[in-house]
Order: sequence, then C-alpha cells, then structure tokens
Amino acid sequence: MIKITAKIIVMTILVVASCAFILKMPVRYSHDLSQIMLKREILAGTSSPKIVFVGGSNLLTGLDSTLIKERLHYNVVNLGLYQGFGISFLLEQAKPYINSGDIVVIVPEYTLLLIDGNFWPFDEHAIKWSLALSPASALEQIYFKRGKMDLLLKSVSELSRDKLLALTRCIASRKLTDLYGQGYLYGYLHIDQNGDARHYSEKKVPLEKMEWYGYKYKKTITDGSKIKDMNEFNSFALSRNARVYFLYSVYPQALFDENREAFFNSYTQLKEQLQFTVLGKPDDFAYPIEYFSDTPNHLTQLGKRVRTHKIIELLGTEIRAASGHP
Amino acid sequence: MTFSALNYFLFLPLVFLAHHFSPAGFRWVVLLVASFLFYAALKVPHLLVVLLAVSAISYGFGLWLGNCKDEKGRLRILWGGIGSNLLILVLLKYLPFLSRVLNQLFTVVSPGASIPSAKVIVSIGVSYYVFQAISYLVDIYLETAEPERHYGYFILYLGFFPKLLQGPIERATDLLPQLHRHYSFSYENVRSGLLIFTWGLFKKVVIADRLAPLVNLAYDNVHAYSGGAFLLATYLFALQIYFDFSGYTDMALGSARLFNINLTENFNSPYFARSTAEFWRRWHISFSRWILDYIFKPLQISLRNWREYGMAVALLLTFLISGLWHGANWQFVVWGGLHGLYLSASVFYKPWQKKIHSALNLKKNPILGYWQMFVTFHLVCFAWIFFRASSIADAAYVVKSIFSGTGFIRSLQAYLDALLADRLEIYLLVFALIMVGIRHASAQVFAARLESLPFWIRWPAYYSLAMMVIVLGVYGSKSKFIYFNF
Repeated sequence: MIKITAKIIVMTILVVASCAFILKMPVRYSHDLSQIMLKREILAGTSSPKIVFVGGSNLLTGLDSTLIKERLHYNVVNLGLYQGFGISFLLEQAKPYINSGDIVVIVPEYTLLLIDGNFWPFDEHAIKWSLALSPASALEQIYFKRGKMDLLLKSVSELSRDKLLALTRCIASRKLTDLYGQGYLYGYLHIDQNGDARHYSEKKVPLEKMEWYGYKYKKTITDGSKIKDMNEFNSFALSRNARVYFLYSVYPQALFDENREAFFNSYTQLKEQLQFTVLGKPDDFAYPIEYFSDTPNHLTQLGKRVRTHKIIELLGTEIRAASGHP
Repeated sequence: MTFSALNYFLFLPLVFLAHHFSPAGFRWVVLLVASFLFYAALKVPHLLVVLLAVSAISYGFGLWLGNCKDEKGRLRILWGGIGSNLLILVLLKYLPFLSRVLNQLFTVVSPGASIPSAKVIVSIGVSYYVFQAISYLVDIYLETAEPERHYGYFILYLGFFPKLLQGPIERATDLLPQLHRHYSFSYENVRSGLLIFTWGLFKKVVIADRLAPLVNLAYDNVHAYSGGAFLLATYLFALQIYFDFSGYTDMALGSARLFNINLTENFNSPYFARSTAEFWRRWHISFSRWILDYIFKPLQISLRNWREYGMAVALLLTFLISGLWHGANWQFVVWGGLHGLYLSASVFYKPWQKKIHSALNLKKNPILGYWQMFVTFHLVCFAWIFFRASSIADAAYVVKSIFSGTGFIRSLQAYLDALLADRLEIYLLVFALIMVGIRHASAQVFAARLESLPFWIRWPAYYSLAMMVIVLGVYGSKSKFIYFNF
C-alpha cells in the first residue's frame, strides 16, 4: 500500500509540476481571448491620468481610443474584449492599476444588464482565461468558492494545449522571437497599444440573422449584485481619487425599439441606484443597422467613428465640468 | 459523474481508501453506498428508485424460483420475473417510441384516432442492469446459478458503480462470488487497475472525443456533403465508437480491479474480425454473449424444425431485438436488422464459401484473411451509417451519396479542408495515436506489455500517457459517452 501510494504521489507531483511549468512558460497563448492578459499588461503600463473603458466586445470593435486620447488629452486603455468576462471580473482586474485622476467608464452590453446568468461567472471560456490571468484568485474565487471544480481539468487541459500549440508553431515556423514578443501569434484579432482591435471583419450579417434578433430582454435589472458591484467599485475608485461613469452600449435601432421599454426602465433604475453618473441615454447609442457588422454589439468603421465622437462629447463635457471649465 | 470527470478522479480514490480501511464485513456496504452516490450524482432521482425496484423484484423472484420445486410453477415464476423487469424497461425506455409508432399506424388505419404521446424518461444504465437481472433469473431457472440470499450483495451485483452505467453485463456466476470473496490488498491489481483506467481514459478523451467533432461535421450537416466525405466520416465514426466504448469499458475494468474485482473484457480488436459472426465475438462481448444465450439459443431451439431457415430467422430476430435494445428508434432497428441479415445470409453461403476457398486453394493464403477483414469492416461500417445518422432519411441520403459517386473527390477534399483547417497538429497526433491504439487496444494486453518494460522506459511511458490525457483530452460537456444513451 505504501509503495503504490508513494508512486502515485510521485507521478501526481510530476504531472502537476509539468502542467504548472507549461502554464508558466514565457510563451504567449494563441487564443483570441488570451488578449485579456495583454490588455492587463497595457493597463499596468499606462501612466495616469488615464481613461479605462470596461466592457465586452462592443468596446473592442467599437472604440477609437487614439482619437479619444487626442481629443481629451488622457491616456486611454480599452479593456473591452468579451462579454463573457462580465463587468465585476474586469473591474476587479482593473483595481490594482487605478490611480489618482483616472477615469473608469463602464460600458456593459445590454445582455450583461438585462439577462441573469449565462455570463460571468458561468461562461466556461471566461472562467478558463481568468485562470490564466490570475491563477490563485481564480482558483479561490471561482473554482473553489463557486463550485466549478469540474471545470478545472478542462481549463488546465485547454490552456496547456493552447500554449504548447503556440510553442510548436513558433518552433515549426522558426520564429522563436515570437515566443516572447508583444502581440499574439495566431489570434484572429490583433490589438493596438490602447487595446482597440486593429482589424475586425466587417462581414455584414442581415438583421434577421443577428444574435438576439427578436429577443425580449427582462423588463428591469433583476440581479441586484450588478449594481452593487459597480457601486462598490465606485467607492474604491473614490478612495483612490478616481472617477467612474456609466455609458450605454450600442444597439441596432430596429432591435432597440423592440426593447425600448426595458432599456429605459434600466436607465431609470441606474440613475436612481448608481452612485455615479450615467452619461447620456440609451438611445444615444441606438444606430442604424448599416453601422453594425456581425452582431448587435459590433460596429463597422463608420459606426465606430460616430460612437467615438459621441463618447468624446459626453465625456469631454464631464471632464471640463469636473475641472471647472464648462 | 462520468469516468472522465475530475470529480470521479477524486471519488474513486476515496472509495478505494474507505473500502480498504473498512472492516471485512462492512466492505460491501462501502461499495453499495458508493454505487448509490455514483448513480445519484447523475441528479436523476427516479433512477435510484428504478434500481431498487429492479433489484427488489429480481431478488424476490430469484428466491421464489430457488425455493419452488414444481417445474410448471418455476416457469411461471421465471416469466413473472422477466415480465416485471421488461415492463420496467419498456415503461422507461420504449413508451415514447411505441406511442409514436401506434400514432403513425393510426394515421393509416384509423385517421383521427390517436393516443397521447409519452414523454422521454431518462433511463441511463437501466437496460444494462435489467439484462443482468434477467440473466440472473434464467440462470437460477436453469440451475446454473444459486439465488443470492443477501439483498445487499444482490443490489451491488446489479448496481456496482464501475459497471452500472454502460456494463459490462455481468453474469451472476462471475460477479457475485467476487463480491463475496475476502478482500486483501493487491499491489499488482492496483497498479494494473490504474494503468487500465488511464489507458481507457486516453482512448476516450484523447482519441474518441477528438474524433467526435470530425464525425459530427459531416453527419450533423448531411446536405452539406456528399460521397467521399461520408465515406471518411463513417470510417472515423467506426473508430470513434470503438474508442469511446472500449475506453469506457477499460475505465470500468480498471476501477473494479482496484477492489480485486475482474469484470468481463468487452472488446478484442473487433475490426480485425474476418466475418460478422467473429465481429460479434469481439465487439461488446458481454452483450453478444447475453443475446446469444438468452435470445438466440431459445429461439433457435424453438425453430429447430426449420433447420437452417430456423437458424437464419433466429439470428435475424435476435439482432432486431439487439438493435431495439440500443435505442427506441428505427435507425437502431435497421442497424440490428442489417447485422441480422449478414449473419442469416452467412448460414446459407458459409458452406459454399468453404468449398470455393478449398477449390481455389485459398485457405492458407494470408491475403484471404486481409480480404475477409476488409469486407467485414466495410459491412460493419455500412451498418454504422444507420447507427450514427440522426434519422432514416439522413442515413438513406448518406448511403445514396456514397454509392452515387458524384462529386466524390470534391466532397472528400472539402471535408478534409474543413477537418484540417484548425489544429492540424492535434489531428496528426491523434491519427498516430489511433494506430498505436488499435495495435494495443486491449487494455489487459497494453497493461501487461507496459508492466514488463524496464523502469526507465515504463515511467516515462506512464508520465507521457498521463500528460497526453491532460493536455490532449477533451473535457466537460463535449465529452459524452455514446453508449450512455442505451
């Protein structure tokens, strides 16, 4: 019994150590969502005062951070990547890098406000990349506390495979410099120094074939933890002398009209319950279908430009007001 | 909880330790509680009730049969026991199918008439232990087995967790004595048990689950592909189902061996069979033996006056029932029927085949063996089309596409492009591993070979196997066992 137990323990240690070694290898992952790690690096390396945008892929594909930087004279970091990460998780990731004078703009997709469940901490992809991003905190907060242990093996397996594939491809293509370089090796998305997508497919999807077509959102925000988490983050930001704003995400006008009541109910609710400012109104970001590419959250270049100008207008007014120059 | 889930990797050692450190008279309780927990982890409460019902009925009928001396009475008791078990199986598994068939009949015979459609009820594992219960009763009736007097051991015989969900279908004479046997720790059993389990896990999560999306690509979009794609997808499905089911069986065998219990080997390189009859001696062996002993033989005896025609009819009926056992839909019936036809036909052509081989002096020619393997494999693959397709219409479309030949190469090229577009490295590796897997497919053989190697080869091999299982495996909701549905 002792002999076999010792052997099993030795083998387990070997295997666990090997997995840890693979996950810690200084090779970049190749999956698109792994860019969350690069985004955190960008956030860590950007000096204050800065504007940090927190949200899903509506920001990744629909924000011109360079333009905002030019017009508002703030450094800009776009943390938007994938709505599966949810807002609370991204706000937690941003916390260590929020300093005096910073502005955090929260831009959740409507799905994150008006649907319960489905997203963080239920999305398997997001959980997996949270493990890559912050192993200790993910293990404690997600896998143990939220009972997601059944996903741990799947996450470790997929992360290890992704890393080994990236390594294999680097070796095969003799581009060993890619191993440690900036940017992602084979991800379909590439992001710039601010975190905006450099190239995003403008493939048009007809309205009736878009995700969430005909979907009826909940009439109000029923999950109180969403507002609570944002208010808690605001308290934290205030303690660091930073400011927080809420901004509505984009949506195609035709789909917006189907859910107008729900969207405006959420607006009333947020105005009442959030302890920080809601910039603009939901219909400020309801655009013609021509501004959208493949989903109701992804804008074309034209849509991106229009939206960025609106954000500059709204945010600029606030910044000027805060600095005493209306 | 499935064998490839992390919670099972924690559950199994805990059960092992609890079993090992329990007093001798209490060990069966540990295994029984573990089996209940394992079944309960499926979160389908009625399944535990069904297990208890089947075990109570079979236990009662078994004792009654054992005590009855009157031959007619014994036969009535036997049929009572079999009927009660089959009733449970039909109620759980076949009612929706029967109601659908009856309603279809009504539309022809009596338009306007209908019966309410029955809801599909989850019945994971039921058909396996119901078959075990029936074999137990028949064996008592035939006096080849003694009735089990201890109800706890009897439930354990039906519900022992390693074989509960997908078999092997164990005979009372094989499993019950092992459950009663005094346990003492065996280093060899634990070592080979772990190795067999890991090998099975490898077959399942690395090979079968990586093949699954490739097969689904064609079979879930039948109108997007044609001939060449379906031919390749069918070959891949033949491999997928083999590695999926034999992987499961290895994990069951490995788990059971930790408790010094040897379950029946269910596979013996089935795709190397030289006839469909041989295929059934190598594929799902515990099930094949069951249908041979408890369906085919009684049928054959009752039809013996029809000589070879009786034999052919018995084979056909046996395999139609076998198809129906796999699932309550027409694809499985056709699949079973095809195997029945192959075997029935062999009753008539076998004597001629032997004469032809002798006349051509082919008996000792090795090419004959390869040719027979090739033909058998393709007959089996043809039947797999019906097994895998989502409907009879889809299966018919696939068959028509393969045999029509139009756009064969173009379709194959499109399918290959789709397969290899992403993660080429993994597919190449999986292909290489399949080759190894087929060669060393038997878990016992694999374990024995590995254990005979010197330390400096054995340990790197163990380590590589474990790492491949972790890194290349597919986990989570995508990793489902095909035979869970039966």
